[in-house]
Amino acid sequence: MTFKEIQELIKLVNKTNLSEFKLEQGDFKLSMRTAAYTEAKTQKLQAIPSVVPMTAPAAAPAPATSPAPAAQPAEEKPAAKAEAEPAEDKYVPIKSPMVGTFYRASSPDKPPYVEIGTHVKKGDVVCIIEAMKLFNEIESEVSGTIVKVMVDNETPVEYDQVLFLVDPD
Amino acid sequence: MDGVKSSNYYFMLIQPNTLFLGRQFIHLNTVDNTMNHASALVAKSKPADGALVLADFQEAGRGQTGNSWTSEAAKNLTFSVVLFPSFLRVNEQFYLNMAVSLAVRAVAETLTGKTALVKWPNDILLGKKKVAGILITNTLRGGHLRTSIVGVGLNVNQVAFPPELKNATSLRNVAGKEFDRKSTLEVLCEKLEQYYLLLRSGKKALLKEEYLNCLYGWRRKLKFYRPDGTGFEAEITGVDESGLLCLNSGPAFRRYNFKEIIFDLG
Repeated sequence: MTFKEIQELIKLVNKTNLSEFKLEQGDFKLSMRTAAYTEAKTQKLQAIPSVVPMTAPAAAPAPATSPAPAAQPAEEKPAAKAEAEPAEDKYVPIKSPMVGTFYRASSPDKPPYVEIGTHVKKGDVVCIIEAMKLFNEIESEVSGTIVKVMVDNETPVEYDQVLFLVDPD
Repeated sequence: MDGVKSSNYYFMLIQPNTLFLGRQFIHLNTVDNTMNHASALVAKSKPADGALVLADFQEAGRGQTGNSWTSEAAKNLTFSVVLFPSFLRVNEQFYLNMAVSLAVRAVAETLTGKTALVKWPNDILLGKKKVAGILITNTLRGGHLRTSIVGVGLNVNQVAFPPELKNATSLRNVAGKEFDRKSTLEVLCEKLEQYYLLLRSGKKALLKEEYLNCLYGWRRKLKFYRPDGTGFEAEITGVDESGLLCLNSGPAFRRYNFKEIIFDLG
């Protein structure tokens, strides 16, 4: 994608009421967040009755020629963090280190490595990711209990995709 | 003969001319499969880099997930090698596949005197028939490979194959003579180490060049099938960094994942 094309895209996104835009073409990844994104987020936070000191919205309307006019500081950490967080945030994700196919068992006639409720130790194999007939055993990096399986057996997974959620010990 | 006879069973001793590959050697009569035995070895003890587990008969030989591998007892070579390629990043693992494929291919060609090719990603062909299969299982740590268990099944002296394996052959069927399993295994150890050391010293471009040169159908029009059974003609133009097969079918250029494409070996 050329610089000019990116400029065009930014203009286009600014004209819409999109809050977030992501594009992937092979190795190329682009993501944009607009003022609408911050608004949506702060509204959600303000719904919780607490004094959330707003970080100055950095969304100064930038000229459309700027390479990232809509770029917001990705992390807007409100003071009332603990209250605002959904319960799932205490869970630790096990992510895929690679692109491939997700297998829950070492072979179709074997039971899955883990089920919901299985307790895993750090280093225990939780699944296999296969790519081009190379089989990769994925180990848990934490000790805890599997609370959610995020991917169906034998389906493709992307790099960094969350595979499991673990409730750490 | 240098071997050990134990309870009416002959155990091989190998002396490969290698630095580490096959220097630790475990020869089993029967085992579920050597992959499981090798990974249990990694879990329970600390096997040496290049430790090799050979079984004369596998009760549950493994091909790719779900496919079983049948092999007549003590006719062929079915073994697994333990490696610690921590120098390889997760996204570089296809290079390990190239190194292993090239090693087994070289042995098949040297011993038979006939051209051996690699059918992507890692079957070894003599003519259009499969003489060897490879299976690699890795464990990962911190973005790198931690252990790799490299399983190789090479058909050596088996003459008859079940009808469902009509595309299988052996060194013996191609060369018309029997091979000594012990010395064949020693040559395999030597080639595997040679290519693994190339990989370890970072000669990735060289490995890729040789892999493409030995790839069945490279730069030639071939017939392929999609999983839905439809056929098409295309030329293999290469293999990308992650190992995907790049095909040019004239109107379209596309990369294919394993299981998205089936070769027509005729």
